[in-house]
Amino acid sequence: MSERAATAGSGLAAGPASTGALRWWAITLATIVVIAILPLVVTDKYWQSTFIVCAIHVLLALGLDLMLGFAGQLNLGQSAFFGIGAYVSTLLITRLGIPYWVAFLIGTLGAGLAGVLLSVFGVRLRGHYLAIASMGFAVITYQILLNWISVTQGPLGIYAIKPPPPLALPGIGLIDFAKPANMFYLVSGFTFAAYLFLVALVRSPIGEALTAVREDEVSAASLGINCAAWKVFAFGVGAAYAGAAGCFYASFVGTLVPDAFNMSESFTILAMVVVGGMGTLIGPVWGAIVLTILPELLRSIGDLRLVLYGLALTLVVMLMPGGLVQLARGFMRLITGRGRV
Amino acid sequence: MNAAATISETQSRPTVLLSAAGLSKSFGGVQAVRSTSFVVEQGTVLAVIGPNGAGKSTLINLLTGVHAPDAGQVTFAGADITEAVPYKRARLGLARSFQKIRLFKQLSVLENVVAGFHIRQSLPAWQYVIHGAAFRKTQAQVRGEAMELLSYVGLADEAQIAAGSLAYGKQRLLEIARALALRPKLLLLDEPAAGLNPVEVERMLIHLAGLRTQGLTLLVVEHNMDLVMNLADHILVMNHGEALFDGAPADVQNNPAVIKAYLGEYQA
Repeated sequence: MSERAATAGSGLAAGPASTGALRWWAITLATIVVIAILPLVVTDKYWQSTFIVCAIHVLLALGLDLMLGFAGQLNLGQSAFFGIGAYVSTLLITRLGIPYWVAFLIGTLGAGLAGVLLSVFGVRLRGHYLAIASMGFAVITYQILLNWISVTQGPLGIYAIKPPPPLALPGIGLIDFAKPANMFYLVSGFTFAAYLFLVALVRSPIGEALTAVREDEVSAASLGINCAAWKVFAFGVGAAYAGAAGCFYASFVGTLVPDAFNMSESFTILAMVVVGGMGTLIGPVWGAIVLTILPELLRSIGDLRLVLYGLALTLVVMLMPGGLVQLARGFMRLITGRGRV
Repeated sequence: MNAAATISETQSRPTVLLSAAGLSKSFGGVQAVRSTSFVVEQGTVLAVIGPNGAGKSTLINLLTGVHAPDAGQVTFAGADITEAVPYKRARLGLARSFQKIRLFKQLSVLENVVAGFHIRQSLPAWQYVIHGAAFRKTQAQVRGEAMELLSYVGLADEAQIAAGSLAYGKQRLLEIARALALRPKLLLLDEPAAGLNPVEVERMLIHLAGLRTQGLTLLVVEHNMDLVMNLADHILVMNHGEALFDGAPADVQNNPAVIKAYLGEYQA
């Protein structure tokens, strides 16, 4: 009974402050250790690159989860925000010679602004209609990337995009981000900070307001919660996360073609959130990791991996709507519960 | 038919908290509410009764901002709120419950009440990200006050279970506790006894009477005459979208127009 009670608030209910803080520090430390030693253990460049893609996907999934899992707004345009971040930052660097981190900031905020604009127009739309509007946005963005050849070079793509500039760290020396291991530290470090930011956000009254909007808008409004404003907030932050992911993606892959930001990418990110467990933050992290690593392991099956995504999504929605998080919690309950009874 | 004006004149000028003047609303060809006026005085209980289809629900929707009236004006605590959207009315101190219960079913009982504190929390923006001492203090304070409200309605023991799994009568009480978290000036209750068994109605009456004793102004739309007669200071009877009667509970039972509306005309 009490276990189920603890999970009633989709993980928002914090335990006693002291044990909660202790657990927080333990998890934080463990994550830092894992990030630090992963490229040392796995020295293969190909797998190191896969881990970077993992971290980028986690960022995308976290952004979508804020919109879908917390504010309850289905956004199928995450691929567009991803693309906006990638193209805006890259074009600023290659065309205007703007420094990388300034371009990164503008690309991230630009995607966030696009999210705000989309949601300001879409705020009156609910459920399927908002999903369709965001899908339309994804299609339009993709078509612009494809056909505005004078700027984006269309399907020809942009090549030889430089990695982030080397960073001089006192005592360690020059960190070269052309090396996958260093790029992994950069992207996963940023993603981890972004994760902690969201954890803090959803455990504050902001999380309470977003969850109220998700659960029942009429009810939330009767408590003085401005539902429209919170939806716009979730879209802005979530889209900015996708924008940051796009900035990293461009400088990591070195090549930009519109196909990387096709609408199917939106569904891939959606699958990560749903498979992991929407409405929790750790769920989309694991969803993104599993759905990035697994297809790599199953590379021999080629395009069948899309079938795998579809199958995973269907099975999770039908059998395990809480995703991997629900599976893990059920497993833990099985272990601890059996011991006590 | 406009009895509201006479009422406010006869009494010694009490403060009017909510007033509706000439409210009208029609849907297509149906005139749901027709030039209805009334006032709710500070610290009193107004009950709105009437047969099904009398326009009570539409009146509630006009007062809470779900619909905008075709004509007329709603004033609350000195402000014209005729056009205000629902969340702004809540911020002014107009809280409500719903006829068809609308809790955050997946959230815990406690979290439901905590959500009601949303507009009363003020933290420096950075504290939302870096949870400092002020954040923890506010969190503890809000949870403490929320537990007090739950204790008041007798739900403290069930604070951690999901709101959707509460018994029906308790869900009604939780909705009231959540509305009270706003520290409203006026609580608008839309059929608080609907679906309750007699024991639960009795408990609801005790809670509502307690709120009245504490000086909270109530507007209750209700079918249960037992609850209405025990609670209300004034009764507004609606029929065919109009105010049929507005007066003291003692007079309502003897009013020929009311009897006619409820029982039909006796053909001699």
